[in-house]
Amino acid sequence: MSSKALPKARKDGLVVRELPDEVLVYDLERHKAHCLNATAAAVWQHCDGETTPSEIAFRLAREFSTPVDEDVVWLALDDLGGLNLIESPVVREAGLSRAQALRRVGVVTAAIALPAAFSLNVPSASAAVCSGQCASAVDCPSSCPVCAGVCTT
Amino acid sequence: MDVRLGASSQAKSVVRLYGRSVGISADTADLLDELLRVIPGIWAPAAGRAPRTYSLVANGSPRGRRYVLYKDGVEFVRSRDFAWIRAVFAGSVGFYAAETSRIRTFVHAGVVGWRGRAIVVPGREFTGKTTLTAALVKAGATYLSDEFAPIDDRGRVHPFPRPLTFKRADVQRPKLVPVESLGGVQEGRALPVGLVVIAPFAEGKTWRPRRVSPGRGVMHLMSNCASAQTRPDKAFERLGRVATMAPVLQSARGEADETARKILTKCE
Repeated sequence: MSSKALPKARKDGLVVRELPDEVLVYDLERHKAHCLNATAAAVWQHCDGETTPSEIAFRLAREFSTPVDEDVVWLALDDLGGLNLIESPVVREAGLSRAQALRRVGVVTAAIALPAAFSLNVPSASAAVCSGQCASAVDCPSSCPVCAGVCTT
Repeated sequence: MDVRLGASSQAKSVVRLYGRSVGISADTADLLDELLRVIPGIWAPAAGRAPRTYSLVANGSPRGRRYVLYKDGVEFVRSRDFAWIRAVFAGSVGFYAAETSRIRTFVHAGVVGWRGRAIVVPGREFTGKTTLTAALVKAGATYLSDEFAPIDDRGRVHPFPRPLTFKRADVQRPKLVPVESLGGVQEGRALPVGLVVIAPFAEGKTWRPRRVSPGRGVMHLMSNCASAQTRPDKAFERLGRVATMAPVLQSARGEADETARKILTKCE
């Protein structure tokens, strides 16, 4: 499985924080937060615009000390592209569908976790506090947009 | 919209809470004292200019008074019920600190202390946060807050004192309960976080928690964080510290007293 695509990780407009086995990413443009597992984070960190997916798979294999199928990298690139964490989404020229790749990778990959990302639409201050069910202004900590119609009357 | 600058108010004060200054003025010193008494959290008198101001005006005869509270010079709330005015004022001041503080990251959460560590229960309104906080207090934990967990750079939670506020979506006025009336004690110290519990109420459920990863834990805290959008870097830093030093447990819960006992057992 080969491709001439050279994925490049987006750097601008992001806040990144590394945890022991995960990477947190905050998208300042979309107010979305993402939590990448170790595999997705490793793929993302190798997206330097000069490395092919097959080379990334090779590097991951060295880092994780286990064989890493190129499909694992493509799955991660698919996720990262969907999260707007790749500058220009890379498209595989030919190959398996995502579902096929998942099934195949699930069989061949035992020692490395499948790439995964957990995302969150980060709420505004008032939405983080208020559920929108306020019965009165006393319930609501501010004249927030979530419940202004109820709270301020 | 009625605008008032507050210049004619006879009694004025500036207070500082969690690094933010708030100017408060009222027609009389007694009214000002009434407002100062209900400011939530830890605060101290301060001086200088305040970016947020409140001004309270009382009109009418003593038997038929009408109160108008202005926020930043604009009418915020108007009522004959002074208790209502005080409650709206207290909620607004607390929310202002939560939204704008630079020295703390505020998570909407109940917080109790147990054996020198904080148990943080994040959640939106009407998820049973105050009920579970009260159950933990009745089971012997100290009380830090039922509204906000102000978290510092070291991942410690500071107290946010205020009466426990029991709300129901179908009841207009919340019930305010001083922690002492539950047999509890207000914790005065900042505590390192020992446990984060995500436990929304669900009828008939039993609390069977599973541990979530630190990253997922941060995401849960971010979804209840008042400054996640405005200061995501600090939120990641402080909440990341919390979630890497304390387990984050998640499960829907049923009855609060039983859940509280199980939570405290987890911390033994």
